Amino acid sequence: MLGSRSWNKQLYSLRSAVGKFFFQWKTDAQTIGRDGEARRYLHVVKGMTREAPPLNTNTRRSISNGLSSSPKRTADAKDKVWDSTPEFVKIVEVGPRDGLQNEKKIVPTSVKVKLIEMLVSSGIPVVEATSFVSPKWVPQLADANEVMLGIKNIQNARFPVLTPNLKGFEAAIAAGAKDVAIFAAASESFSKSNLNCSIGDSLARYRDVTIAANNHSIPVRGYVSCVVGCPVEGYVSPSKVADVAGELYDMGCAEISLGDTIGVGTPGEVSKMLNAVLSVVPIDKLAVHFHDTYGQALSNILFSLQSGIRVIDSAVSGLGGCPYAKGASGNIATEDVVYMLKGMGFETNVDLKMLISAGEYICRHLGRPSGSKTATAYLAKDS
Amino acid sequence: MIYVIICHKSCYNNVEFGGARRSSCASSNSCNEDFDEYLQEPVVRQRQRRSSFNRASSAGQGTSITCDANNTAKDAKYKFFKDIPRFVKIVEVGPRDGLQNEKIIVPAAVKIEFIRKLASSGLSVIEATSFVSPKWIPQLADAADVMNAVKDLTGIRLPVLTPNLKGFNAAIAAGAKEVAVFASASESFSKSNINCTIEESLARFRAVTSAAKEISLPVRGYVSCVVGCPVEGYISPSKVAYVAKELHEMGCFEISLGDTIGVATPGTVLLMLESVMAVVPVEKLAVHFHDTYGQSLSNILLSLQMGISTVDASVSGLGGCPYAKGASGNVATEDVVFMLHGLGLKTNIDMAKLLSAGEYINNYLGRPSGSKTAVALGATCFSKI
Repeated sequence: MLGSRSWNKQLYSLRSAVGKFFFQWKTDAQTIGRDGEARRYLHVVKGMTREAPPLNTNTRRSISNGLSSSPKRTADAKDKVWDSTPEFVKIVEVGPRDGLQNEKKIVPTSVKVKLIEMLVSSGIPVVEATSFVSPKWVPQLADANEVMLGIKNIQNARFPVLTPNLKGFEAAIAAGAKDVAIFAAASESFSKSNLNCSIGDSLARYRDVTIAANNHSIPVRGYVSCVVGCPVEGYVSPSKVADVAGELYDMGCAEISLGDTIGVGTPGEVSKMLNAVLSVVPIDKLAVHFHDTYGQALSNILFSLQSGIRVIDSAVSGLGGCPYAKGASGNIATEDVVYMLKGMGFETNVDLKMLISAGEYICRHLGRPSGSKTATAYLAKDS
Repeated sequence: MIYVIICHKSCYNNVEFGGARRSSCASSNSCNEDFDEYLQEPVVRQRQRRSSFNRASSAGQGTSITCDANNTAKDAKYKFFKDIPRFVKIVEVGPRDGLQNEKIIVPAAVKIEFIRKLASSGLSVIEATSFVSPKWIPQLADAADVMNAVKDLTGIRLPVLTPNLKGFNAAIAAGAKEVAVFASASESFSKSNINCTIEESLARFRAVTSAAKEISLPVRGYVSCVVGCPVEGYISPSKVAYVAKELHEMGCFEISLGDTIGVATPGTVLLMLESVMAVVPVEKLAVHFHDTYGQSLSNILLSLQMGISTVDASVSGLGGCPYAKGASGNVATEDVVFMLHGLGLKTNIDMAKLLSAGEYINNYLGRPSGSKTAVALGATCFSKI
């Protein structure tokens, strides 16, 4: 990851087009004076301190104000002066699994399949489709096989499914899964209360899954939950998170998603946690999965982007509340994340309007308002 | 650089993250995590791993990650915290900007009690009311009564909005000791919101600031539509810088930059702040983001990283968005304070008392809190620990 030249260039081009009165373009990094002071903050957006090359000052590009940047428009924004493409951020949509599993009302298979279809049509590249856990634990996802059948012909997306053990893995393969996911905790107490076993035992189970997955050439995604705080233990030390992430990586996970399960993280804690994990897992294998329980998710995501993370988990319409705080929210809404990413010039391939429609569809079915502020604002504007 | 003693462990006993201080760490001044920890260069861990790191990947070393991206990430993290101010001032706009958008007319007595509760939470600046014509803003028709009742609260500043000299004089008569003026970076919004062009409004405000200067009264300036306008769309940063500069030059001690329709994202905020910081010193600037699209906390984080140390917020997210029915408006103070405390920054605000002020006004208005922190802390089962 070397940052986005294109983003820096858009920035500079806009400034030269409208701000000539206020800025003197200097390539000298030692510029003094207020404009120099301001410009040294450019790196905060992308974590890069390289200066961009001098510009064609006739170039005009306006930075999207975030509203309705369709992929086509983002492609148009590519300037002819440069040939690099905008940086890509992969969205992993967890609404159909992580979102729905926390909803009380059982959603019929046909609705789940339609939701997944709409999400893929909007451009989401990875949708967590379902989970092969015992229906006794998660009745919402008892129709895992049927959902897999329903989506087997959908193109252009990957559909990881949760497999808590070898049995679940085999059921997933039989149902046609091509990606699986495993779910460990960084907190012993949470592991015991959520998975009914210690971290060590869960990892042992997962080794069986990853060995089997390797034999079938099936990529495995690893989740680490409670990466900042645990509802039982409180603060979780970054070294614990790194231990578990490292183990998952060693056993063969293609991607590790770090989850702030109770949403208590803020950028300082996230920084320490990421620091620790980065010593054992390369950054391009990491994803972040923040919960918006305290409204902190987007700032944590911004910080993660600044640190170089390029995979973000989210759930359309903020599906799935917090099981540890009644009435509180859970997953961050995909629409809000995509809105921010587009506004910052990241490429996601997601059409925000179509995504908002997918959210509207499931919320209408569930009979509840959207958990996405972007969707609410967007739909209110049109009404 | 002052190092605060870390009482890390005890702070996290009852899951006391961010502002979730429930027991003895009630005051935000105690038990602050040492912010400077975040500035330390990350230590590369020497790890003995059971399974080998001999993977066919770019890492391959088992200890530090050798690919460029990771080293950049580590350096970047250090830089991202370097310029964040250690103390952040919150300007609470709930009683004015928040309530003025609420349909239910709140009686003066409730407003006064609300302001008192906010004051006791440690907030140092609370926008009390507005001396505009009651014809335009019926909610604030009781401005003089409210001001008279709260003017003697000690240790707290209570700015009031004064759109013109007439409002200014009424404010002084009611005992105001600080006033605020409200310009727009968008011509269309200026015309539709205050019925005059930007230049005309600046002329009016010059009259206010001259009068204020004569009696040494501080004036706060607001710029609205700093990123987008409901009529014009995207607003160029140079317009914003122009209006901010004018307000600064006419004598405003602080300029609050408002994203009125909440469309900003960190990219547009960066451009806008760069533009304004080139003409107004950063210590005179405040940010006033709306959470209409859920973007305000990330915008606030970016602003902090650029050195902004004053943030406007409204307890419980009071005040919806008049341009998108049902959408939210102001960012909730509780959520902002949660982030600031989580970052180890000082605010002098007691989260528990702030939550109770929010609860008070929500009970009166009969609506749920607009703050996710308040909902989570009200509902959390952490209390069973």
